[in-house]
Amino acid sequence: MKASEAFFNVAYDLNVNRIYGNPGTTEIPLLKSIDEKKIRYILALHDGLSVGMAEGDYFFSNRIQIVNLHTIHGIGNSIAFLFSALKDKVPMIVTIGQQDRRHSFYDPLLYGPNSEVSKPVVKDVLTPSISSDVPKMLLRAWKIAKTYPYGPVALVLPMDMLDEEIETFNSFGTVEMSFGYDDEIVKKIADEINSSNNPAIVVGHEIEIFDATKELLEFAENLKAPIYKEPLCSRGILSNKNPLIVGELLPASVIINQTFANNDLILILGGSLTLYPYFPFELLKDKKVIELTYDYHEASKRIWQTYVCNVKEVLKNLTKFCKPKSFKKDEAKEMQLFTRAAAAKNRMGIEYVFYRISKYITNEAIFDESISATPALKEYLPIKAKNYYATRTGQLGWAMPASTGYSIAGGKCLAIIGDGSFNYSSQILWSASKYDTNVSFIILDNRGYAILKSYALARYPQITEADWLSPETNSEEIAKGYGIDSKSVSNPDELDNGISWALTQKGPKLLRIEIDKTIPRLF
Amino acid sequence: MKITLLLPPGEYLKNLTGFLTGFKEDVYLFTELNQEAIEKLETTDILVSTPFFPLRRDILQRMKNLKFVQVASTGYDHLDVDYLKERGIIVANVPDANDESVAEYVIMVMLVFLKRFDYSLASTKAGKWVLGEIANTTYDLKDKIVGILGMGRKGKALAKRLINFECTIIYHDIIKLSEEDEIRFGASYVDLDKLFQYSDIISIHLPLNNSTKNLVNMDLLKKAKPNCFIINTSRGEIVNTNDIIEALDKGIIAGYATDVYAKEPPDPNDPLLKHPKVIATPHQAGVSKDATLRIAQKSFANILLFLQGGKPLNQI
Ligand SMILES: Cc1ncc(C[n+]2csc(CCOP(=O)(O)OP(=O)(O)O)c2C)c(N)n1
Repeated sequence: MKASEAFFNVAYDLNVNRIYGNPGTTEIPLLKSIDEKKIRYILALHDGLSVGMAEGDYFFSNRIQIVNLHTIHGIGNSIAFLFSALKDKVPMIVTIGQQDRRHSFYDPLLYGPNSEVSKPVVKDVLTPSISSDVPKMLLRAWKIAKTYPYGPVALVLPMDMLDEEIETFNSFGTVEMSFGYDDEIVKKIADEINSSNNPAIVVGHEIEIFDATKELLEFAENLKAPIYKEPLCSRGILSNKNPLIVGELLPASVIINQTFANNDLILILGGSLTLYPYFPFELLKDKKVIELTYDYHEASKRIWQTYVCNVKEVLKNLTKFCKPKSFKKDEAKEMQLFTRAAAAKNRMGIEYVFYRISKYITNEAIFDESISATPALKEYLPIKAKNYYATRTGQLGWAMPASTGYSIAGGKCLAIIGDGSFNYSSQILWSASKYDTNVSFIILDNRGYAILKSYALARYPQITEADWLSPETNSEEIAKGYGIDSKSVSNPDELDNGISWALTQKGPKLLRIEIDKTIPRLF
Repeated sequence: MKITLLLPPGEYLKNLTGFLTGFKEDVYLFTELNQEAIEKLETTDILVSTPFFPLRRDILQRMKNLKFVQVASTGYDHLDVDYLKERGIIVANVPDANDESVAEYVIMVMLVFLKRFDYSLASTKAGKWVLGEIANTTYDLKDKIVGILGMGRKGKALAKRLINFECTIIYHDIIKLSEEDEIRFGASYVDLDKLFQYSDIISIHLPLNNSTKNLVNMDLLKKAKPNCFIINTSRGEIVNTNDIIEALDKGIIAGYATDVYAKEPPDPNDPLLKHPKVIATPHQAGVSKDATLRIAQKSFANILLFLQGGKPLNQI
């Protein structure tokens, strides 16, 4: 059989059911063997968006993804998406076509440094050196992608290799992972917790990666300590209405230090204290910090008491050793949010807009790229485990393809996107329409890059008014061009109708909401 | 038509007569209820009345032509309304002209309390520079939780203004507002206990009746936060004075402001007036020169409406 057929036979065995991509001639030799009854090829009009869709697909389906990119151009156009998938720890195999080896010496068109360029943004790069390795390499890539930390693995496949005849290949072995748990370590952590007076818990995305929300809740409810989400938290983890949740940390050392001024122990469970603007304050200096993570990279960063482990296993066993503290949440928080929302109504402030959206959300997952509105989104929308997704890298253009993939895989979702972010992946609207998705795209249009203006206002006020910080585009009209039903609303009287239309009608919808364009004070 | 105005000398008079200058109807104006006034009243069609001149049934009986009584105030205890209604005479008042005055007064008192304005003003004028002490013992209204007890017109006028102070507003009333109104006023409904539990400041806007008399007593005060400050502009009897004084003395709450008293004016030895944690004023929240002008405007507008054959607003 041809190497390309052997490749797909392995893929069928691995139960792959979709491939995302945007192909070129270098990918045709592989794709000629695809059996579309078994694996559907989902096309994106821009290479990077296929990586984005695969991320979203994974969030819903939990399947290791395959993405098909077109040689150096496909990689180049996907760098940001690959980097996001790497940081978001999403397992996927990225096949990358390469020119025919028989004339690569002469630098033919489409021959490129595919391995070298993809290397820094993927977990590993593989390329077979003989055609019989093609199916084996796929399997190897599969195993690498699914060991911790998950991530994308590049598989570079020269055109001519795929046309060669090889022996039938039988799949081999599996990889299982389990972090054992160490009694000694658990007792040591419990001792630290029991001897502290006022511990605080920080939770991060690993809780969701390990499906440890239940264990976390048991642990925290027993301990009765306040829970914070890691800064720029990319997953839902647990309900933001939970009586122990105080809120999400801000990515600023000075504010984190102040938040924990009265806590004598900070317990970081599967997350990281990502910082964003620089402040000349050392993070949690002289504080006792215990950090649990499976990520060896994260573990090497800080001078804390760090345990590389499976947070689910540890929590499961830790709870019974910990004596309760006495934290009580400020119960008036909901009312405070309500008054703030009401005060924002007439100017179409984001607090009011989110308050209204929250009235129509049922069980949709939320893909968030609302940028300057994100802190408010996290306060107002009903976030809970496995219903909230954002990328951990700050990449714009990620959430629209990810939500589309999520919907292709069968999930119900809405994507809340800044008008600036919208323009980084508006082509996805074609795929969203073509593949009968059900995504509600909500574009928060503040006529420009509010977060950059906010940063400028805080540090370089002279450029706040620069015209290159205020690109105005009309997402409603753009959506129509891609065949998507779209509407705009600009005042509180139209808002509810717009939201209910976007969320309850079948098929992909785009609702553009003109929101207050006053520059927010975020820095 | 004949219009008779019975007004006390002062602002009402000035304002209303100002409006009536050049008015093409027969207008008679009296500042006391003398024989001449009573004779004119006998043939008058429209009466403008205030609580300063109580009108007994025997006088009303003599007004054979009376069709419409416009009360130029909120209260109308001075009229035998039942009798007038029996006769089919329309009676209207001006219920909403001083809501703004009350709301502004309440906000002023909140700020006086939070900023210790009375103390800093008196100290500075006495030549004492208390800046350091003030900086450490005063607060902003922003981010405080304000509880409104009684969400009628005055409670709403207060909430409408408070929204812009960026504080959190909660309320309790026997009637819950519609969702739309809750958003308009930014106010979340809570039960009475929670109102006392959560609020940093509580403002009372209740009518006095059997169920509100003594409502604010020790049982309720015990639920409050120790920094809680309570403001009463509705009626003295709603708050149990002994309990309030005990709560202030024991540090159960931090302060009390009252504009109203069970007996008015209060006895000069009333312990409320003497207490260092009490802000006391002479039932002034609802009165201001501006409010009087609004009452005059609204009364006059109603008369015009009646003359044009329309239905007067705020009929009792
Ligand atoms: C791919 C990419 N290009 C550029 C940026 C830089 N960037 C960060 S935020 C931002 C503006 C986002 O605007 P919008 O989505 O409208 O959100 P707003 O700031 O208005 O809330 C830009 C351009 C980025 N993060 N990613």
